Amino acid sequence: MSIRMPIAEVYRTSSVDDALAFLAEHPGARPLAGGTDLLVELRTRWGGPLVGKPGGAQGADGGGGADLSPASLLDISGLPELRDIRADGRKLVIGACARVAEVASSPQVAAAAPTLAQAAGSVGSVQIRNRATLGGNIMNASPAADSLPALAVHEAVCVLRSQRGGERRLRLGELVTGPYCTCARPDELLVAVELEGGSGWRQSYMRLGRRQAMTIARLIVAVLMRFEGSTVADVRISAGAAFPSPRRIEPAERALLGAPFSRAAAREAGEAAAEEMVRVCGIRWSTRYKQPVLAALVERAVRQCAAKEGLDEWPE
Amino acid sequence: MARVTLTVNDRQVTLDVHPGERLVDTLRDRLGLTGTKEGCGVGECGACTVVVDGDAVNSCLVLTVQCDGAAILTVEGLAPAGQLSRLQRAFLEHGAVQCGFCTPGMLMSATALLARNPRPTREEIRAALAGNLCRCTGYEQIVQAVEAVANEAE
Ligand SMILES: Cc1cc2nc3c(=O)[nH]c(=O)nc-3n(C[C@H](O)[C@H](O)[C@H](O)COP(=O)(O)OP(=O)(O)OC[C@H]3O[C@@H](n4cnc5c(N)ncnc54)[C@H](O)[C@@H]3O)c2cc1C
Ligand code: FES
Ligand code: FES
Repeated sequence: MSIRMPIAEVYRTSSVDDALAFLAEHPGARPLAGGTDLLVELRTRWGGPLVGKPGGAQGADGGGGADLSPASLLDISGLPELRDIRADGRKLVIGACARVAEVASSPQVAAAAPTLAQAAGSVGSVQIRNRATLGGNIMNASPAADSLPALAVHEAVCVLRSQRGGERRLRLGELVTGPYCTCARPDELLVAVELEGGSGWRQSYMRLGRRQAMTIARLIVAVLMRFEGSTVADVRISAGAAFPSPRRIEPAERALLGAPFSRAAAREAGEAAAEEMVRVCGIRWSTRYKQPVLAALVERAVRQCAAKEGLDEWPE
Repeated sequence: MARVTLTVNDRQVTLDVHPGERLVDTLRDRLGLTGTKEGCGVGECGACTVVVDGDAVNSCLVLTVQCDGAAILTVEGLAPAGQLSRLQRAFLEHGAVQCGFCTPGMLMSATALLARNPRPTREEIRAALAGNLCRCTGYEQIVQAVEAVANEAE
């Protein structure tokens, strides 16, 4: 007998306009991209094996894991309009349905935002990356999603579209409001993500998991730095699996900005990042592990950027 | 019900499928292609790996309605006339098969890799197989089998 998922309908669409019209007419429908989060969530709801994810994704129906009625899905995975990756001057524009594998191997992404390429290459397995989309990674809004810290340091702007409201552009930190929560309306699709690329950045992306492949990150750090001589002219620091929603960690950036690079300043930035995490999240069961490890990771990522500029030895 | 047309192991089939039917269900229950295994059902183990339009994917996380028009290769397609492929023979020669439950998925991940990159490094082989779990062999023999085929490539 066939094992079936609790799905009442899958609407197949051939254009973004048609997709938006469907969402406008079917308020409970949820977009299906790669399905690597959504189909796991539906299967778990149906009574399949439980996987360790708190609550399940808050999707367009806002219902999360408790809703037992069969879902109505809008399949957007085949829309070529949403799969484009292109450089537009200094801006990098990535379609929401670009596969994570495509983001990982795109020469445009490698040139403008190598941290994002590395983040995409860290997701799941080959099989997962071949289906998973960048838009799905954002809209699922897991605090441990690999792309989010990399997008945060690149000041990503998320482009949403609906039939009723036209286009809305939100910064990543505005769109993702908390763990598994976004402020997108049920009739809105994420269509693209725009990043500030630009040369001259030294970049570092670090990720800790229980093993190298197929594990959700326990901590992620992304750092961009620009130097003028030995002075830190610009710096952006973000962390994943550390905060409820994606953000830059300003106290850590302030420890470095405008001053000559030093190892002491790198250590200070790490400590400031860890303190900020505790200030925002409070003390939790994981704090004893995460506080020193986040401090060490930020320090190391900053030193890696400095080492790439020839201002420090490569930190082991 | 939705009508889909798939090309499975070079044979075209048209089916009416339930919207909630997964590709692994269609292959095993409707088409009798039980070489593809289901382990975890949630993308973690790779036992259900098949190749869709050239890409290795978990057939437990793909709906059949999403595959309309796609070309699908399963483990049965590696030996269409009962003749094992070079990769399958290498698995046997290197002792890469014990209980065999992971083997179809391993073969499909490795087949997709070799089609794209005929001479992968050991690291590339390990990365390509990272989404396939094996509880018997300890992986070494599997990597060696893929390496053996890679070393023969032009
Ligand atoms: C075994 C396994 C391992 C994984 N490992 C990792 C990992 O290491 N790192 C990581 O970050 N993630 C991991 N994931 C999670 C998942 O693969 C990613 O989050 C993926 O990017 C989700 O994309 P998708 O296209 O599959 O999303 P889907 O499952 O299709 O959708 C996810 C959610 O976003 C909504 N959505 C999707 N696209 C849009 C859009 N364009 N507009 C509006 N809403 C949209 C959907 O309605 C749904 O609520 C893993 C998952 C599995 C099963
Ligand atoms: S059964 Fe599909 S990955 Fe385990
Ligand atoms: S041979 Fe038994 S699981 Fe791999």
